[in-house]
Amino acid sequence: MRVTERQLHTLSLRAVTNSRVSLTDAQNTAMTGVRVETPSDDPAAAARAQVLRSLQAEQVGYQRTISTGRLRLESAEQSLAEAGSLLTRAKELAIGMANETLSAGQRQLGANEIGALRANMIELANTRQGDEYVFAHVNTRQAPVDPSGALTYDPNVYDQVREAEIGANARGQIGSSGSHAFAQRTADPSSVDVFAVLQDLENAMNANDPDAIRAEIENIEQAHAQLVSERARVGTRMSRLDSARDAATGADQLYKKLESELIDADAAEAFSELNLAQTSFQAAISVAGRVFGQTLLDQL
Amino acid sequence: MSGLNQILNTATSTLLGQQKAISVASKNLANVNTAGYQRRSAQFSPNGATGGIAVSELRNTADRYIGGKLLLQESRFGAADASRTILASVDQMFGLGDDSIGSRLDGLFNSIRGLETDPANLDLRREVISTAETFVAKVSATALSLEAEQRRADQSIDGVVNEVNDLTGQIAQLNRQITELGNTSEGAGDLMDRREQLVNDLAGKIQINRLEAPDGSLTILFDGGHPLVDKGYAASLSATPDAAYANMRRIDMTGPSGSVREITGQIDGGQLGGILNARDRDLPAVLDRLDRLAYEFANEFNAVHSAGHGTDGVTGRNFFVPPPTMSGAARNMAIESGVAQDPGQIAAATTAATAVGGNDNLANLLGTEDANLAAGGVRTFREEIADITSLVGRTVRANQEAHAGAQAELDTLNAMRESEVGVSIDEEMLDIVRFQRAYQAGAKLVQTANSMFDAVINM
Repeated sequence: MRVTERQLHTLSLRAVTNSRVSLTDAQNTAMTGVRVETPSDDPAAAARAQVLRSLQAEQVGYQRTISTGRLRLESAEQSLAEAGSLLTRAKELAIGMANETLSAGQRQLGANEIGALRANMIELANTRQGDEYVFAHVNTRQAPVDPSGALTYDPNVYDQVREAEIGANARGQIGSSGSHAFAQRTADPSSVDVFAVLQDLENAMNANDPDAIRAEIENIEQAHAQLVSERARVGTRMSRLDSARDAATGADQLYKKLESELIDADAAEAFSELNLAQTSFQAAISVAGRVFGQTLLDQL
Repeated sequence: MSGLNQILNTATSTLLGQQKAISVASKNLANVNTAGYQRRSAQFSPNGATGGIAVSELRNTADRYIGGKLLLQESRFGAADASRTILASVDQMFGLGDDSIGSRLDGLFNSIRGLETDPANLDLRREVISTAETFVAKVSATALSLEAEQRRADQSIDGVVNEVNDLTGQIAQLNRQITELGNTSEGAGDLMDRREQLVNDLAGKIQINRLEAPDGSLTILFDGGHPLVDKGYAASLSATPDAAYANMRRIDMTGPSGSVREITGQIDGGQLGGILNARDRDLPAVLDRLDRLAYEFANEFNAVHSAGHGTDGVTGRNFFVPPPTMSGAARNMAIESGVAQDPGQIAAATTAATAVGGNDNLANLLGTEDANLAAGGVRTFREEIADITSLVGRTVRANQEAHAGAQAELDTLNAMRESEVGVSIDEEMLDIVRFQRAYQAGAKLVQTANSMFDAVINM
């Protein structure tokens, strides 16, 4: 086997070039911390990372929906709690005003307070969160109750609450139903119209009719029970959102971890690769220098 | 009976012979870096007439088998090298950053998720339009970039075809000169070296085989049978835009009789083969998948969208402009102008009664994200995008491996060839020393003969 100058040259050139490429790759990986930047770096890992990244984005979307939904539910919960307190006060007043010894004037004062409570109740039913009425059904831009205390939609038709995607194949309710909280519905014979009950109570006090006032106490209790059970439903929805948030956060972290395993470089490995590449590069250039240094030309 | 004159003649022959041998070695040294140069050796033979030596310059020849394999690897390397630059840009287009098609599609679906929480919110509706526009722009820009790469590759064909014609012309001319000089003459060796290099260069442009005739002329065959160079004649290639190749270039070969043959589909080696492979195979494969993705996504999304109602209660509207054909669907992907200008037209509700505030149809639209609707209903769009990414990765990887493989094979073959016909400085230096010593001996012989003459004259 003869060894010629061009062979030596090609050999050294290739060794130096290849180790320079490996060194650059290793430097890039160590600097960016990323092993797969373009599909060709690892086609299978790139494809799987793409799917994982998309699933991650989906989890972020769920988390956003859950946060928005939770804000709305918190707002509904607070309003329902206040509405419950109003009814408790109304019941106290009713019990007090049902006392036969009270005068018409005193009952008139009670009626005034009930009127104020009712106006307050209408305000609570029209609670807004952002631009949306919390207790509205479909059209959240329209107030659910008008100033007279009448519902602006048919509670028998619209008694569902808004749903949104809160997980893979999971939908959660992200609102509260004004129909269930405040309205009388044919589907539930025991339900009462909260505003009508307060109106009737006010009317009975104005009419100075203790029997009629007494008759309304039961309705107020029913109205209170209605609000409490809607509040309980809101609570259940919130806890469902909380567990969905945990699931989404967990999935997000899992997908991130899996993606990272696929495309990120292991720091220890990256730096040992870098050291190795540096060593090979130095070896290549030092060998190349020696190869060309050894020739008969210097000896003759 | 040898006389004194005979001794002088032998000495002269020795001096001239060794001088010639040193000249051969010096020619080798001078050409140590000349591509295609094959080492010459000084061949000594006794000269009966003078009693001295005859020295001739012999051109070492390389193994034909290695020569044939070299041409093949030159073609493979040329092809892989030409595709490499084109494919590298495709690799970048499908990089894993936040600007990938997949991330843009995720953005669209997440904005729909946002709208689902408050369907009457105009800002959220605008965001859906905006993310959809970003997605559409990314798909369309990727398709346009792929087409631009195709066109750039196509435009580079002219230059390569000219180079091929130039090379075949030069080889044919060298064939004529070599035949005229006679292939065993010393001058022919230099022409053969030059021709050898040109043939290797030609193999880097297009796949070829070679046949060498006893008179030293070379026939270069393309694709096994069609002569590109036949003795002193060179065929010529031409590139002409053709509707059959979407107005890109068709390659024809004009033979000795003037007959024209289309060879576009047969070229798969050398730079020309690499360009054509990228233009007609690799880039269209990715583009077709992207077109199919855009076509199926637009249609599936539209099918759900048109079943829903906008805030004005109107149903039956498309979201994307329906692509007429699969071909060009990615490049021409667009959002319907009505919905783009009036986000209220986004069909969020399933009934006219819930047109304002209803979000059931958004849930149906979100259903297209995880349903197997892509690639003829076998996988999700997310998986299809990942699969396209993987296709790009595999194509680029295969090219990189072919490139590295051809390079390594080429290095090995070149090393084998060099080992046979290359120049080693050490070897030449030793030869020079050897010839120099013989020259000195010849000079000594002259001196000896001279003193013998002196002795005779002074007797």
